[in-house]
Amino acid sequence: MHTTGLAEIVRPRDLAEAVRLAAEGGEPLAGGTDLFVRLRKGVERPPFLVYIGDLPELRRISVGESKVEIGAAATHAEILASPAAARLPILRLALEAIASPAIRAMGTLGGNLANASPAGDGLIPLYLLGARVNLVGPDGERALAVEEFVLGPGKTALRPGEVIRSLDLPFPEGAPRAYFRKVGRRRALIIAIASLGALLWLRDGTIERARLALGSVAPTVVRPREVEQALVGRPLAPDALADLVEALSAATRPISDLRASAGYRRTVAGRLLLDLACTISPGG
Amino acid sequence: MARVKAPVEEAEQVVGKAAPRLDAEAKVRGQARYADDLSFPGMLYGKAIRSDRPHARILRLDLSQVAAHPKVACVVTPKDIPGENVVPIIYRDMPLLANGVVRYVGEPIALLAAETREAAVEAAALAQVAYEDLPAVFDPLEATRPGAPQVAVPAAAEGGNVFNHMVIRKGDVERGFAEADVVVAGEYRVGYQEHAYLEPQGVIAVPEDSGITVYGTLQCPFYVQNAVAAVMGFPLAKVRIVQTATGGGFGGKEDVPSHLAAMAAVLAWKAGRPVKLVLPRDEDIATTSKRHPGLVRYRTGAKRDGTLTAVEVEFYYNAGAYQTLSSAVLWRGLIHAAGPYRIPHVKVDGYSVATNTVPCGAFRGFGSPQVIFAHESQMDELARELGMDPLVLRHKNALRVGDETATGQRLTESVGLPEAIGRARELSHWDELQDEVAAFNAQERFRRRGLGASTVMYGVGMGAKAPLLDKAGAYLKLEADGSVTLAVGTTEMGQGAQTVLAQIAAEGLGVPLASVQVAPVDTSRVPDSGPTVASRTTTVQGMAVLDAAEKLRARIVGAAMEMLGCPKVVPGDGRFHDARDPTRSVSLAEIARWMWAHNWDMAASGWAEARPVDWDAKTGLGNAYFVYAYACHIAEVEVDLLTGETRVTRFWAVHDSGKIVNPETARGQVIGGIAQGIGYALMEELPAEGGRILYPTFTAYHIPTAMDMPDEFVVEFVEASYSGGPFGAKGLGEVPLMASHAAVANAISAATGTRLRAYPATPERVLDLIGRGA
Amino acid sequence: MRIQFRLNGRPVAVDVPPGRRLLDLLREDLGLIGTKEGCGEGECGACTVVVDGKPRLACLTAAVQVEGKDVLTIEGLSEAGQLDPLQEAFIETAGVQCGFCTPGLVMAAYALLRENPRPTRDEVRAYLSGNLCRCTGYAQVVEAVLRAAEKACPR
Repeated sequence: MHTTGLAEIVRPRDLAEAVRLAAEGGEPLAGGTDLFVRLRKGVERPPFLVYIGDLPELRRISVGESKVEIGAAATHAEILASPAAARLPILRLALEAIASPAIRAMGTLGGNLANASPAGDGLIPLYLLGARVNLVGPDGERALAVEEFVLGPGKTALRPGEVIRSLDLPFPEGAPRAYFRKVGRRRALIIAIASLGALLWLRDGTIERARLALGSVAPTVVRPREVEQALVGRPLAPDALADLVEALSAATRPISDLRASAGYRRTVAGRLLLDLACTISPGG
Repeated sequence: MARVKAPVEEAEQVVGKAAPRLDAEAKVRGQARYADDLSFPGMLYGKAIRSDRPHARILRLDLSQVAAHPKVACVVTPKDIPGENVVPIIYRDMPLLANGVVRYVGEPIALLAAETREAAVEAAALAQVAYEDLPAVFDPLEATRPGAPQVAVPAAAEGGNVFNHMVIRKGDVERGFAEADVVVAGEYRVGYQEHAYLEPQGVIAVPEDSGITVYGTLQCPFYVQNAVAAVMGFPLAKVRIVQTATGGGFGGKEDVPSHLAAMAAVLAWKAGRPVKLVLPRDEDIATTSKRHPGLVRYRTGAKRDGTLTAVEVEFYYNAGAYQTLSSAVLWRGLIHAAGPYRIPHVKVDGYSVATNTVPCGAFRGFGSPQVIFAHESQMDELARELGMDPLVLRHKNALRVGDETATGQRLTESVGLPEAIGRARELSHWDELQDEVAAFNAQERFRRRGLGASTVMYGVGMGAKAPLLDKAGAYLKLEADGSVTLAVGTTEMGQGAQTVLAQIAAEGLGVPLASVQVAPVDTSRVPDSGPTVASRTTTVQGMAVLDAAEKLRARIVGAAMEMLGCPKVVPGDGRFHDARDPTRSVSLAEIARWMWAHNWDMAASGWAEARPVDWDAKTGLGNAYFVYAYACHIAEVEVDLLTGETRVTRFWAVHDSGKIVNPETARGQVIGGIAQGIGYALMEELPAEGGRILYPTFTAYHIPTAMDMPDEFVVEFVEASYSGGPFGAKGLGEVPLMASHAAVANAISAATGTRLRAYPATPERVLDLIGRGA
Repeated sequence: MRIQFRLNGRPVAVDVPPGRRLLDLLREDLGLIGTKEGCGEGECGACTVVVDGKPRLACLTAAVQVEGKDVLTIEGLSEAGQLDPLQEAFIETAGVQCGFCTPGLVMAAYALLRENPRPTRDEVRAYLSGNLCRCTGYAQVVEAVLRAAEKACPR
């Protein structure tokens, strides 16, 4: 129900203090776009919040030789405006699909990840790129692959007191084509019913390598590796992929909820493969 | 077909012009004050303690912890209500606070007022209620079966849970079907539609020496006055209702503010302090009125050449636990069930049924969109069976002057429907458009486009169901400096009424629009003007304004003649000129000063009542409404065959609402109505389980965004003048919504090749249609 | 907790309870009622303000999050009394009906034109898609933004 007040919010001076406060039970607050909604509904009652959104060490976006490192508190809008998005089209496509400009100017990629929603648009590129999650906690730093970090809806491998510091997004080899599509009942401001992201390496219209990631159709984002394998060597054309639609559907473990039935999700997840084949033109 | 020009004088200076809205500047500056923007010294925050059971006896209500909360100033139970425990609407079945039995989830049981908003929420959660659950029923058909739990308060129902059963019996429907070469039949279902006005419900009750004043976001101040007087046991004269800026209504602020204002008034009176009651969005969606879910069955017959011979309709509306406006909603559905067509044999049975769900009420279209979805689907199904163009079929059967409606009403003037259909055909380049769509579909593998049309009629005003309410008062005052104050009893809720009424006043007075200021609506200023509903404001309130303007103008002209010493004056350039020598003139400011100095009466009141209507409940025949508005819409949709996602790509809308007073605000009404219709057809859905609305949030309830609107709009008006309206105007507000969703539905059916029979056409439902069409 | 920030061009320092929302700080403590609450959970955009040049939802922002920042509300757009070209355009195109979503729409449009002074029609629609309007159907709103852009930066 309606509460005007939020929990108490503490502003640490630096990351070290943030980690200390988190260890005392404070919940990290960055953009607040998800956390404040949960607090308002009363589903969560942390003793206090630790505002990490303005810590410079968490906001850096640095483009290196082999990867982009994105601070956990960099907003989607900042990432989109940075060279990182230009270098990683899949990241741009997915982040542009998030909610609305205001939410993108507030929400952070670190927050999207910590939220661990299978519908999180920002997670799809992380799975496709094989991102690593850099964590800092009372016992020091560690890094996990995104697939090890996200354990289920709202569940992560974060230990008490640990904070996401940054995300490493390695550049893929070559120049794969990027695809992202989410399905919903309106054309903006939606949580995906199902989504598919892809990186495709093409040569002369034939798929040399493929990575796919499905959102909203399982407890976590899914990489359907059998289908990725099966795509190799096929021409990028709907007819050539038609027999993989079922296989892609089979890679899902969807639930029914207010947005759609499990059956619809399963069907549509598979069919997005045909949309991919039509959307990415083999030539250009 | 040529565009019909309204047969009115071209002399109008203000009416018919796209004048900027009078309220726009305050709104773009953020200065307009809506309900929650107002504060009063000592103000408390009110909150209702609500039932969480759909049907239960209240065994014990323990508010001791609520009252003990340090910031709670006052607690109210039914025994604290000074007057009657009732929210009088059409019936008197709904209590202000549940009287021992709750009949829906969210029904108010008790009230509290606290020093802060947060404390009010906290304290409400401390109420202890012991219930004995009673059998509950949620489906209207189940509720009509023998042995169903009794939901309806018996005095308010015709029998069992059937609040009302209304009929039309015209001609002999069996004969009509026997004469038909083709008969189509179908069943159609629609769910809730939530108003989703951006400003939630809100009122502030302020106790005063002379009684009580309630400020609020509301459509119908005189309804609120009546309800507050009833619960307070006050004479009406001790209750004053003042409308704040109102952030959308669409019918959602027709009856609901009566309930809220009565709650706030009782709290404020007991506490002796002002009480603000603003609903958070979830409480607003979960506990206030919405469009009735409906089950609608149709059978329509036609001859081989497309001439309609008969229609038979049976429909059920889920009214919710109390009557509120359901009888009127049902009646409008009944009268509109046969559509804007000439049909000799008509049989309609409409039922509104009580269930243990939140009471449904008014929503733009008021019981007609549900049957329009069905009758316009039937027209397309017929066209398909007959191999006829759907626009041709509609045009052939469209009502014309001299025709009889389904209730046997002879139309004597102002029927612009055939022209609207013809114009929509021209504007959309209908024939070429069909080819374009066919070419697109031939070329695209996973996308299909479809075209759909709809035609509707709309009975303007309250009609024969409530003729006593179809009246309006106005008060016009010429100030001593020549500016003009206009007071009316109908409200601005976003539709542009204030501007349109000021234009009518300015035109009637012969003064520039800039001279006219519209006062906030306040029940102490003008007589009971009925509700601001039924697209009646321009027509009925407009006539009252014109009446006042004509009276005042006679005096202004008289003064000008005396000042100029001439027998006749003519207006021009904001001045009044000697008709014999136009170089001699006086300004309105000079006239006003002169009138003031000569102790003239500088104010006039105006009055209007709608032209008479009649209706026989036994046969359903009669002159149901004083005039009708018409529209023809055409939608183009594009369906993604892989996902079922559907978007509306182009839209054409042609309306006959008589003279259009302000083309720019009228265009806004049309496009806004189309948006709500697109939402209704495509995405708006409010699932409920066990009488509980599961997700009362904007996260779950999707209304169209800017991205969901068509890429192209064409809006035009054919103005078939109505002699009973100001400058020939009829009503417009509701019509665009009524027509738009059905055009979208028909377009989806065309694109998928399968008839859409339930709203909303979500991706999942459309994918199912595609599957069945393949 | 004491926080300092710039509000509509002027420095302000206010004491706020630890969990105060920016929306309540503006509306209740500072009397800037032009910023509206439509849903309280970031789904309608009625509370859109501009913080450091970017659109932000005041209902999902804690007051402490604007410490040291530059906050612009609808009241700040026409502070000297002169309407912003966007506000003028909304009046001219009848892009205002009930007006409750209007301040949020104007602020979102303001942020858009800062980022992209000459947006296309589709770019305007996409940018405003986080601001729900139930009255207008958006067409005249989009026209207003295009008109303001044209006026500020004619081709």
